[in-house]
Amino acid sequence: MRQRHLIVCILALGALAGGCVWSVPQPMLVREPRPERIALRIGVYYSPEFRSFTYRHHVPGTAWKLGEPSVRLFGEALALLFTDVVESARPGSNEGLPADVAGVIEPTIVSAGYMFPTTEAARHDGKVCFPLHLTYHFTLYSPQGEPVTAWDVSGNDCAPVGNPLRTYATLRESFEQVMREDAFTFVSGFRDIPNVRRWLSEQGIN
Amino acid sequence: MQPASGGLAATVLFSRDFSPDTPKGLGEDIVECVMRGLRETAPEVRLVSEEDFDRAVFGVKPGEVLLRRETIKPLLARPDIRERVRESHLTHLILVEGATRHDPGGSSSGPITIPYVWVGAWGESTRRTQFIASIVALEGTGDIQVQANSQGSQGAVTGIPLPLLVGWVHATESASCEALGAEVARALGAKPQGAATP
Repeated sequence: MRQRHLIVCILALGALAGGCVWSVPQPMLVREPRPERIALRIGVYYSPEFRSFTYRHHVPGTAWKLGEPSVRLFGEALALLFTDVVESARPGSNEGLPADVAGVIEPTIVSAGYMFPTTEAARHDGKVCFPLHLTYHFTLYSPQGEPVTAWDVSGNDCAPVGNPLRTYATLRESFEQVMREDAFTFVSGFRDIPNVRRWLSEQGIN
Repeated sequence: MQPASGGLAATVLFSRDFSPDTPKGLGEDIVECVMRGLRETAPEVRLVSEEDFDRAVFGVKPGEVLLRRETIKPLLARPDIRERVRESHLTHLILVEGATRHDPGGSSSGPITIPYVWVGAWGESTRRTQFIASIVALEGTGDIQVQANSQGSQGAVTGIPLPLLVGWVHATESASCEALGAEVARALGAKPQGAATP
């Protein structure tokens, strides 16, 4: 209980002292275990909403820029998964898509956030941590812009609180961990999505 | 565990993939003191940085390899990685974790005063810290787990009018960490120099 109050106080003090605190997580991409590369050219569309997605936690007045690092992370993830990746205009807009692009993937963020450590959890197992989650939504379009399939990838973490003075760093690292795991789930589970498997089969990929 | 022909060469690292319940700061502290313990008790063990290990064995940067319990063995079984291990002459991967449990029964608190002025309050609670090192033989098949335990206390000092943290004391970690380094050296089959009996 005392530690929870301490954490809230530190977050609130940080917000008071520096105004709204902005943070940009820098997740790493998991390259090992590596996926079997798909010999296709894929398009990717990052909407302005995705690029600028920011999660705000109103109590301590913090903001977390998640869209900007997600663009870099999924750019690298798609380059690991496909032999060639090209940025695309909005699917269906008929703007400059190379003829040999097999499809276009659009990632979005549908949900992100964290909560303060609960006293119930601490009483239960003595663990004080921040429950944090981030859910991405992916839509695969045909080159003509028709939706082929869509699916979610969701990650959770409960970042343990060590030194309360590292609270901001702990939250940033937790976002980085969840983004990294979401990207790994996307890459490693791509072929397991039933409609993706069917689409790959239509492209001659088994 | 059998040492490679070139002797023992290990890396000690903390990864939240492997130990998600360990705070990063604590994990990094454990790495530091296990390495210190190894240097003191088994100087013949060559210690390799995480960066050099990831580059030599997996061909990636730190953070780019997923070191979960279920991914380590399949990765080390891959022919290309086995070849990299052979070329690197590295023998062991040591993954550390730690957990601290607070004991509410041992808590106490009180005011901090200077003459005529009450400036704050202090709090103290007993906590128990356990450290674990999991040793992976890079060319073998099994893990050896080495554990060390300790118990100690921590204190946080707060002041008024704003609850400003002015002190944070870590008191439990050092004893466990020193012991863990020596136990790791023993488990590696090194010849400890001046190691204390556990």
